[in-house]
Amino acid sequence: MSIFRTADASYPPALKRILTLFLTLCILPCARVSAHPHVWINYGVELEMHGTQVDAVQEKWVFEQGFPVSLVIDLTHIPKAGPLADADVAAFKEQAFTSLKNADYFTHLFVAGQALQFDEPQHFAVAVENDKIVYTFLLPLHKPVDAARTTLEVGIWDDSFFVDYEPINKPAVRFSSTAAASCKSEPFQDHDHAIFGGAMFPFASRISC
Amino acid sequence: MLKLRPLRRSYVKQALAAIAIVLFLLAAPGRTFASTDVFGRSSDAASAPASAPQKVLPLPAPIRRLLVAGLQLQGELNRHLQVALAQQRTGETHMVAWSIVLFSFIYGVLHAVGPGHGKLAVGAYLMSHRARLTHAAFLSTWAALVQAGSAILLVGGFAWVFHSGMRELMTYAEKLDLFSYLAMSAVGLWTLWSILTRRDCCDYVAKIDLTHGTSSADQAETYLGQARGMRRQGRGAWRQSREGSGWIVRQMLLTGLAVGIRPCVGAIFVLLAALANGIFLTGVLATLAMAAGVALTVLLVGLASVGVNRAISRRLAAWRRPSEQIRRGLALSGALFITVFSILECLAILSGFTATTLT
Repeated sequence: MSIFRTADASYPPALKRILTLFLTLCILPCARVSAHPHVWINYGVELEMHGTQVDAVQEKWVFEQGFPVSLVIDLTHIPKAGPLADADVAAFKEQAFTSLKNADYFTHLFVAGQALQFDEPQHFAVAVENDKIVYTFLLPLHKPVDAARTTLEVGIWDDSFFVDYEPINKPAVRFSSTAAASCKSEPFQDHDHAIFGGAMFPFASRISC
Repeated sequence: MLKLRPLRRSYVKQALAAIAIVLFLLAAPGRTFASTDVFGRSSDAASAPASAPQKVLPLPAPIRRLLVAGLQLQGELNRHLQVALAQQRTGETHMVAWSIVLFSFIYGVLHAVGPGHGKLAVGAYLMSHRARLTHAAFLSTWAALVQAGSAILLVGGFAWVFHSGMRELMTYAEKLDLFSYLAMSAVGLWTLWSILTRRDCCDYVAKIDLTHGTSSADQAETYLGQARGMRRQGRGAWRQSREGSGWIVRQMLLTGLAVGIRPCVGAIFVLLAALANGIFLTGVLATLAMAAGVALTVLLVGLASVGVNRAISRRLAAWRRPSEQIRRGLALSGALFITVFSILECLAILSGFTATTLT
């Protein structure tokens, strides 16, 4: 315990390096981010397409166990499996979905680097699958875009990283049955949109037809 | 060696008064806070126009890789923790309870690696004071314990005292962000005042001024009694001789309290999961284990900060600056930094420039 008695302790070089790394990790980027994430979601994306035209994004969010359902509805209302009652879906929509409007429901769709706008989400539903809460909804594009004329980039992420999104399937983005057979999805790490104060590059998909 | 003497009644009264003020402010109508959802987002956000994505400069690759590895591990730990909590409900063995504690501890260690205002304040305080290593251990442990206590009181309070359901819990947790900054501002201002008025600062070593007196009688009186020499060095030195290291413990108690008022969302979510599984006490245990993990990581920040303080002191001493002047200068700059940072955060939140955040 003599180390704790020494006010003028001089650290060994190896410890100095470790401590310097910790200072760099924990203090320097402090103004930019906070200790996250707290919510983990596995997502599935299906692009609603007619030929090569993208009209909407159909999404499925599967929340990891530990998502605090009791903050939204009474736990006695949760079924073992299947869809929630309309009143409970409305409660989820009001308290754990609508506030994401400003963040475009964490859905990012870029054409030539420009973010596309979405209309109001449709068909919002909440169900229990394998003891996990699942959201499904459709996000229509404000202006449909032709993937044959330009390359689209689509991804789901939370800039603040309060929520950590991981794709359920590979490829992360699939197409509706009405999409042109020539359309393909190529996953990549989006270096243009660093999140969490620059600590991470989110995964996205490049769509071309 | 840090000496933790029995807490005086006045400290207990001050702590109780601080808690009472926080509870009153939480309950007071005052500024209207938007409700906060499970994604840590305010209801204000829904009505605001969609914001354009902002370009962020990436961190250096090695730091990024380390953070990402830690974050992936956190995700895994969260899964194991939730499964273990569910198993515990069904009456599994003691091994499950211990695994919950272990997962929570490791989760706490990793979760605290990310940046945060608490580590900033602890780092700034220890970097600017000639603190001992035990002080760093004490401050990091105390701040983590307060944060754990805050989460336990908040969730427990909502579950059994308010009987109002859990919907507003996140809103209250977010309110505590502002109160944490207000408290940090107050502690910072008080520390500044203490340093400027030489009440509490810098463990002055009482100099024995043998050259001051002209006669041998003067010298003998100063040398043997020390009292005269100390009086000549001002009020701070006199108080220091009277109170020992009490001032730094007092400052650290208040700094830790101010920093830790804001609960960690990770702890809140684990407590909620435990509550949902009917094993709240296991959740409390997990929260305390998480706090131990957080304290360990913050301790590393603290040790690094103490090292920086030593390095700066040595460099300045090499320039033949008096040690008292160096220590006061460092302490002043640290207190000033914490005060200005906290006041700016308060102003930004109160003016609506930035929103309160959950960590």
